[in-house]
Amino acid sequence: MIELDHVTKLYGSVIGVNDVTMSLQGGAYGLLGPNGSGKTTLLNLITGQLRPTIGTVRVLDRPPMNNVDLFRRLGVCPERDGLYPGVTGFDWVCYLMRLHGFGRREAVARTEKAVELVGMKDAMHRRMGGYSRGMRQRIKLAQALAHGPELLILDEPLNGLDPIGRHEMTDLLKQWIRSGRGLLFASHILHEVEAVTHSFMLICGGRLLAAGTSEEVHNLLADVPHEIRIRCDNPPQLARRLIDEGVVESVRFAGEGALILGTHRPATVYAQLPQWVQSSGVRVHELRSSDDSLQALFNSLLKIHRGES
Amino acid sequence: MNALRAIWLFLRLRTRHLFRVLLNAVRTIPAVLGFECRRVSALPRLIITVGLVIFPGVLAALVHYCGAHVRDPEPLRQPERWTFMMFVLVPEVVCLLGLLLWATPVIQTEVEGKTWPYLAVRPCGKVPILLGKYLTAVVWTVLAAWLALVLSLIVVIPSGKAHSGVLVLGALVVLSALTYGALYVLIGVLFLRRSMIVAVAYTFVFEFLVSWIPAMVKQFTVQYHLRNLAAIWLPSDYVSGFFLASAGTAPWWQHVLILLGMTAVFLTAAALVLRRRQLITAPEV
Amino acid sequence: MPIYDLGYRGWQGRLVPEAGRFWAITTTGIRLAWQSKFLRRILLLAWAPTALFAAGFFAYEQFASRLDNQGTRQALEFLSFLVPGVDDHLLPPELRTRQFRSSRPDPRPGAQAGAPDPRIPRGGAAVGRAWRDGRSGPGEEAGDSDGGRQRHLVWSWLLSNFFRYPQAVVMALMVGIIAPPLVAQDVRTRAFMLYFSRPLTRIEYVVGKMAVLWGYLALITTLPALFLYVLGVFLSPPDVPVVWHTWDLPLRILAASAVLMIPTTALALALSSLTSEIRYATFAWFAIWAVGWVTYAIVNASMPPGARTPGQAVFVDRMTLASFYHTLGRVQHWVFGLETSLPDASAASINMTATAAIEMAAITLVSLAVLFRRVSSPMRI
Repeated sequence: MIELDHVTKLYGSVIGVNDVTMSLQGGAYGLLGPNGSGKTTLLNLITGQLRPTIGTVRVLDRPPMNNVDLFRRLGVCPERDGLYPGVTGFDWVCYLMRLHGFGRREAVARTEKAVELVGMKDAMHRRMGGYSRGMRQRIKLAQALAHGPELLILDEPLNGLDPIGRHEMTDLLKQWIRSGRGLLFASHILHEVEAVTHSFMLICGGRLLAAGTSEEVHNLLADVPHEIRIRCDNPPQLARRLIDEGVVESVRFAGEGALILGTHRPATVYAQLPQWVQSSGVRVHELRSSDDSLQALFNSLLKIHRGES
Repeated sequence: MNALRAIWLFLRLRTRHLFRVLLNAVRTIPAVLGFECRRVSALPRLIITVGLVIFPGVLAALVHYCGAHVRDPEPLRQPERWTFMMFVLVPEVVCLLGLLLWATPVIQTEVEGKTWPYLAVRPCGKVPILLGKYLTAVVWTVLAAWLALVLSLIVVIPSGKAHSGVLVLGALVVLSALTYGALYVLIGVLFLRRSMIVAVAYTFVFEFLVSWIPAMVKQFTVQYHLRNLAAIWLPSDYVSGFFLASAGTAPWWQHVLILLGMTAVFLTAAALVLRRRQLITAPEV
Repeated sequence: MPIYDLGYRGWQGRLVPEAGRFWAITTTGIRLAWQSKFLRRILLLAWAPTALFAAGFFAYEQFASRLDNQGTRQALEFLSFLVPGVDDHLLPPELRTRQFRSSRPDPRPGAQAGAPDPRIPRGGAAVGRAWRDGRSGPGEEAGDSDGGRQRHLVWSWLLSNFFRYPQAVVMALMVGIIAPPLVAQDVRTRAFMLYFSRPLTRIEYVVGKMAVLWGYLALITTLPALFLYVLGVFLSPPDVPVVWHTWDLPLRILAASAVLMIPTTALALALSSLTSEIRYATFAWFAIWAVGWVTYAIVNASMPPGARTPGQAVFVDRMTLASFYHTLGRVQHWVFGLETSLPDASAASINMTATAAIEMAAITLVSLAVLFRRVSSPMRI
């Protein structure tokens, strides 16, 4: 479906995407990465908006740039809101369908169907300048679906949606996947991606760090110590106690009375920590697990890539 | 034999592909034209259009009535003066200003408005959009210029063969809009961020200064050909020294062909550049 | 866990004085505009006319003011390019260049053959008058034995033409590049809320934005003009009290710069504030110049100078007010004290100059009013 072979994209001296090689067969994939990781650049390369500096990109077995036949089979929903404020949603989607080569009648029919599918039927004749964020997101999805593509590429499609909207959109995407069509869905929120698909790719700093199911990724992290940050009034004393207990792999001091410990037995540490703290006479102000965030996941993966763990 | 067959198949495929592309373009360009015309009827654009339409008429009234005196009670009834004024105002000022506003930023507006990615991923995307927007700019400019011409006739009708003069100017408006529109579209594609500045500088330096240089270079300007066409087509009493100053000996059809050829070259260049350019919606600086 | 209510604690360090707050906006604006390679190239190009006019000062000081020097003829031809007609009056009749003679006979009654033709522009006539009145030779004017009046006039004309012709065009281009995004971008991104949630007043915001333009305009007008003046001083004969003759010119340069900068920046920023789309502001800026210039040019061409009645002459003179370029030029002529040296100088035209100055002031005030209103609009209920 999508093949990238040693693709690098440079903007002058800034690296957008760095030596990415991947091959995605049919199905649904999530592209997960923090802001600025290169997701949008990667999607722009796949949709033919950018040309790779090094390497090749093939989508549905052909290069994407200026590929008329490919665009018939591709639906794209970019992240940015590029909507004409003085134009109605219906007119806009209809216009984009005309740009697909559909006649006027067919364009209207397809537009009505797509707009109804995303739940925008009531507001379709209102000007897009008056749309809420969620409405804009829906109309954007409508223009991506209306021509019946085989592969849907979405960049942060759930941005700005309320919980009900997210739920409806997630259902829609799951329906899409069940119909046997392809989906590539970029987000920086792990659970959003996990709600739609179990296959995802992790990108950070322009590099593809990992690809696979969520279980495979978490297994990968099994050997990476779990990090816990503790802020207390006597970090050296607490550190000594924890080391004596033999549950930590590493301890480092982070300034402002904080220490960060790495452990392969987080459950034991959490269970025993209150007792150790009390017996040491140390007063703890804050306890935080660094791994409760996507950034921690990426930090761990980056450490593996750099050979630090 | 096999090689010939392969070449024949390749040509057939490419021709079919080209035919399909052209057919799609023919179907899509009217859609772009219709959409853009609806968009341009927003208030700011209408105000500017009205300004352009009334400007020549107001100026004609000023010169004709305020510049009148006993020895010359109707200054603009003189065909020479009327033609000179209308030529400068209508096919030049009105057309150039209109195209500066509508033709130069054809792609810049889409990139800055972040609507470009939605358009560029359509099968009939980049080039039909470019051509459709070009046609929109030309249509609006020609309409505004023709209206301006008609309005100025309400102020004063020159003596002699006024209808010939008007028809000639009307035709020059079309040629001016087509050629300058294509030129400005090319400038807009080449210089995304500074398209208007470059267009102004180019027009001032190249079109208005170079077109008067008595050398071969003037033949590369649109102005030179427009002035020559005016000198050839206008009735003799409508032709002033302004048109004769740089008149050549080429027949009218040569000038028309050159202008249309320039239009085709500019549009083709713009389309080729647009297909190659990587346009990401970075914020303007 | 106790929650400590710390309350708002003011910054204890040193704050920039209130009067200097606009400077942050100015320096940021200058830095952002400087990122444009296009602008840097135009800045470089903008100094090219300075070299040309520097040569003019050189030509005058080294050759034209001393008519017995070799190369005088060539120098004067060059000087005439910068101040048309000047050589007709600095040269003895046998050396006058043919190209600056009018080909048509002077229709004025009593006009003498070989006398300077006032239809030839402009500065030369004034120089000639300064030269002819009661003198026997160049530089030997009554009460002007070292050519001081002549020098002052030639230098004033050179500086005025420098402001009026090349730098006016570059100024229009440069303001067209820098000004449109200055306020339009803030309108588009609704940045006023960010600006005015700081201790920043509208006046500081407007002054800060205007100062961005002033900085760049000073680089292409004031600095080169002052440079030309200093060059002229350095190139002048050592035995002549040049600074004494021309001490007022640096002040006139500053005044002419102010006349150029203030109305143009106010207008440009007002146009920028009226729209969130930069291209409309750019278009409006160039359209104002183009439409005004064309209006005056058409009216002027429709009533040729030689065939004008007095009424038509007044009408044409009034039409300079329709052109921003010509109105600005008129006021700048007045700043350099050249108004009375125009061939058609009269009480009426001097009144028109006053009207032009009032028009400039009115444009400035209206533009500032529009700008302030637009800048305040997000805060109005």
